[in-house]
Amino acid sequence: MNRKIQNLLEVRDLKVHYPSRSGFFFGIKNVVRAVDGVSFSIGEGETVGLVGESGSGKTTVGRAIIRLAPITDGAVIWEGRDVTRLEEGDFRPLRKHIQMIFQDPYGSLNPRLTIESIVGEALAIHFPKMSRADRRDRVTQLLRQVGLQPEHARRYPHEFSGGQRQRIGIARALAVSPRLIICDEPVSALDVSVQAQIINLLQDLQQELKLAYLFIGHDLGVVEHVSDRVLVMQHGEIVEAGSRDEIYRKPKHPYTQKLLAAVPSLV
Amino acid sequence: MPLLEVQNLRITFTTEEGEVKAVDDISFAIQPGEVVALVGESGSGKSVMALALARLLQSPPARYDGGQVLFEGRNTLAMGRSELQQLRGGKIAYVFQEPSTSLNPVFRVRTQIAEALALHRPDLGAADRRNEIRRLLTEVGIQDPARVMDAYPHQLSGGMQQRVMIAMAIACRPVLLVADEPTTALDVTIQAQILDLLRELRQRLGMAVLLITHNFAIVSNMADRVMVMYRGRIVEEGVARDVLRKPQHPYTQALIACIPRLGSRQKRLATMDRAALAAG
Repeated sequence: MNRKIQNLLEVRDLKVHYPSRSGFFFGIKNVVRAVDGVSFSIGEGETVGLVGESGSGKTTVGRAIIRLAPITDGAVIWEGRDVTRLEEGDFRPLRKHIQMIFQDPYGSLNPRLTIESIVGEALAIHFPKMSRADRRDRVTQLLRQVGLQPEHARRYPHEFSGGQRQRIGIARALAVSPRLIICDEPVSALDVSVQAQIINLLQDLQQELKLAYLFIGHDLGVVEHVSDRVLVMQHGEIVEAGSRDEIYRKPKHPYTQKLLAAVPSLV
Repeated sequence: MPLLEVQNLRITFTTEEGEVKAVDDISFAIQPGEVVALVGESGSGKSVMALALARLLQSPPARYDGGQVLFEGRNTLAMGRSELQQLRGGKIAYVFQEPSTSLNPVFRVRTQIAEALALHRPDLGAADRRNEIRRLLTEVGIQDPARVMDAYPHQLSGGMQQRVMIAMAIACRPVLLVADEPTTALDVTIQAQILDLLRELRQRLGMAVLLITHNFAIVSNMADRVMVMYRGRIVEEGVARDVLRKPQHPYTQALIACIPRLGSRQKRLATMDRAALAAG
């Protein structure tokens, strides 16, 4: 592999700390270090897996990158430019480049909007000059791209199965032609047969569109399948990082070893 | 005589979109002390099947359309209210997926276990009951039963909550434990611990276990036999290892093939051709 991967995203010493109040009547102040000094990078077209158990901080890392969680310290660098402290107006163009898909395809789609509005919403925000007809064409094209039918555009989220809803979430993310998609447990809520379809779809789209993924997950089999490199998180820190082979064939950190040993094997 | 024998059971749900045959002519048996896994995807009817054993389904919308559930030779579907109440949480105990929603948030752990004991083992006096609660918590691998007894559910981790649920389930010495996705909400390292615990308890207490799961991987080192459920029917049944190694039914084959396995390094995951399955 001689391909020189240029960094799309770099995260440097990221910290997300939350004040927590505990004790009777919230007397004592504590700090929860959800993310505590995390650094990594993602290259163009690359998939970086981020594994950890619940409470490890993996989801917060993904959310902090697109400002869904407040950054306490550290830097988020997009194509060499520090974007951590940009005003929201200056940050907005970046939201075109970095999109997110979520675990819960039920909870992340507005039940009152048609699929056309849901998928077209981002287009309206980021491409205000686009005509209605063009937007409709683009939505149709996106639905096809994720394996749905153009006539699905007029329906509402509740009319779809879990797997179809995740496809809608992916179409929405793709609408603005992002270069990086943060996938937060995108298949955890799905049946294994549906999970396989969505994973294949994500991989096809990656090939076609040269997308990079930050793939956050707890299923080590799924993460191994999709990732080029893997980060292992525990208690807000990355305890081990390496290529897929390094992590899965020669895990060094005791926690990685423990995680891998706990995976039940078929037969 | 088998401990449990389900004969030609049929359960229909009436929904806005019409009638759904959730359980469509199912028959199977579980021997005393046997661990049987019922595997299926969501909507397969596996949880309905599990709840039906102690007639726990709300009716309507559920309707028992035929067949019987013989538990120790007696049909639970024909039992009276008080007999059913003795059976539930008595000889048949349940453990569900979400311990946090199965435990009552406003009562301490000891109160909740005491309630089960009061109902099913009235012979125990107050002091004995307290000792029994402590013993049960120790039995499920809780290191500091004194602390856990006095804790509220939210003060415990998911894994600990599930241990408490299991302690409640075994409190009344069931002969059949129905575990419906007992580890699905848990992290993989905790999942392994809970499965170890279930295996150990089954050995020690000799109870039969019906394990309901969507996860084929946990079946292999847990169950003696496996039944695969698809659209309300059992499409395949056999010794767990045989079914996993050499699945016979196209649905089972597809279901096993589409799981990404550690170290297998497939380029592309196999998917299921539902149209072909429905036709065939």
